[in-house]
Amino acid sequence: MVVYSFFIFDRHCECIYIRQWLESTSTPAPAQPLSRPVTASSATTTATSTAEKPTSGNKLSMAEQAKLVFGVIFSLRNMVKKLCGPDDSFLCFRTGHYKLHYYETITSLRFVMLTDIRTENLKLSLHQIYVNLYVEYVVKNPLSPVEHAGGEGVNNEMFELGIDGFVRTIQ
Amino acid sequence: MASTTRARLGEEVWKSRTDKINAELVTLTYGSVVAQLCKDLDGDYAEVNKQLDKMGYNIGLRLIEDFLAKSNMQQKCANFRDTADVISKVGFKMFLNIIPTIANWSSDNKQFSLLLDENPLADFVELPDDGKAQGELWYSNMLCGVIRGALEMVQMQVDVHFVSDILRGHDTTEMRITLIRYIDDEMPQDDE
Amino acid sequence: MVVYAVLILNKAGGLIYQRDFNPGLQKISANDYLIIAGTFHGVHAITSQISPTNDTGSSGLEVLESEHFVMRCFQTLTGIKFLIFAEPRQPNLDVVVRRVYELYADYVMKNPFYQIEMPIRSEGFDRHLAAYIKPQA
Repeated sequence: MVVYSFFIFDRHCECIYIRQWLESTSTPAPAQPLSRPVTASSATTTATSTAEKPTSGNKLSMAEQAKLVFGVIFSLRNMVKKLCGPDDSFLCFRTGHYKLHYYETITSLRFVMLTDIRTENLKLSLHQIYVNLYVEYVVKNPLSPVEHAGGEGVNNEMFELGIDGFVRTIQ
Repeated sequence: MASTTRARLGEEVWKSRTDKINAELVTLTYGSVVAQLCKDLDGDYAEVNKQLDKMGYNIGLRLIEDFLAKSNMQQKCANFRDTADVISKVGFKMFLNIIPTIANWSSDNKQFSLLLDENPLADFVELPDDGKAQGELWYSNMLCGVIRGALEMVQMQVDVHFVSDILRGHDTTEMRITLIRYIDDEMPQDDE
Repeated sequence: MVVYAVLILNKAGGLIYQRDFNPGLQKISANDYLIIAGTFHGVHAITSQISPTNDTGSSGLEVLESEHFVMRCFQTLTGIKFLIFAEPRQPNLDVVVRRVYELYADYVMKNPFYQIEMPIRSEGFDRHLAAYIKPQA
């Protein structure tokens, strides 16, 4: 499996951590029998809400991307809760090209990972990142602030190394 | 989750997932913090209570994550009675190895008391005999802040304070916890 | 396989059909469904924008999973979206969604009195859809 990127959002809906891994541009998109009919043209003609954005491929800055990712997970999470009651939770979705995995703690921290579409649901892995890396290296670091405005305190070396190692083990 | 399951969960986390250190070290550390505050603030015990609560609050904001990570609880409590049960049987058990008794529920189920039959923070303590401490200092007030901070992170705004303390000569040590409101999810800022 | 519900959205994200087939989703108001349809329409467009790969023509959301259901979204070339909600871990909702599309083409689009983009009120479509989806439970 391929991991593309990883985001953490806090309870104030702010993105407090972004990590991106270089994708191997050589891998062609796996053919999806039913995804074919959805072409770029049909997707963009219906994209009324975002149509005014200059669509220069996918060259969105990571900050812009994070904002869009948050919009998506926030809406889907609320939609799922509305459709299936408050104890249901949104786990993941996939498009023809990538899969987005979601895990939310009771304290409203949101962990998001984008991978290729063949990856199984990563809820457990995201939970492990929370338990073994976030709580250990960010929360328990007495010198890191409690709130991480601008990502302060999250991007420490131990956490970064931990994430790298973890992603390597699940790849 | 049934009440007995929670008791078992608390027991299990305490036994197998908690690093332990010498209890006297904790008691002495806490004691010297309180004593130093009393000294620095010149016996202004109201202010000492406030500072202890503030420190506790900052601990609570972090401790909740460790609590959730270790207890592996994934669902929010269905109601405030469940919350009380979890605080006592899992929270206190896990961090202090005691299970306070839950008592004195108000009729609207928004207020309860925790009775601390034993209190590891207060071992060996005798309040100073200055005629004020006995009436003004809540020695273990940090606990109030911890609960307040931890519950805030799981969307509950509460008021927590001591109403009696064996150290002051009362029969019991009692904390009163009041649910003020459930905090709504924050919405993303609209910057368009 | 248990299918909970079928929703159809028009090009503009308006809800033109909604029907429950088996219990599994909450009962929510028609207005809430309209809001969900509109929200989903926007989200669908964004999901194709945030694709981390360089492949052009990225599709929007196709499969959504929660603890309690799985949803398959199929967008036709004409921009209509079919949403099928079913019990979790259904491997082959693609077949179902295809068949629903065919029924739509037959009983909705071929009806000369159906106005395109408008809510679907067709007894024939209802009947055939139910006949296809119900027995699979």
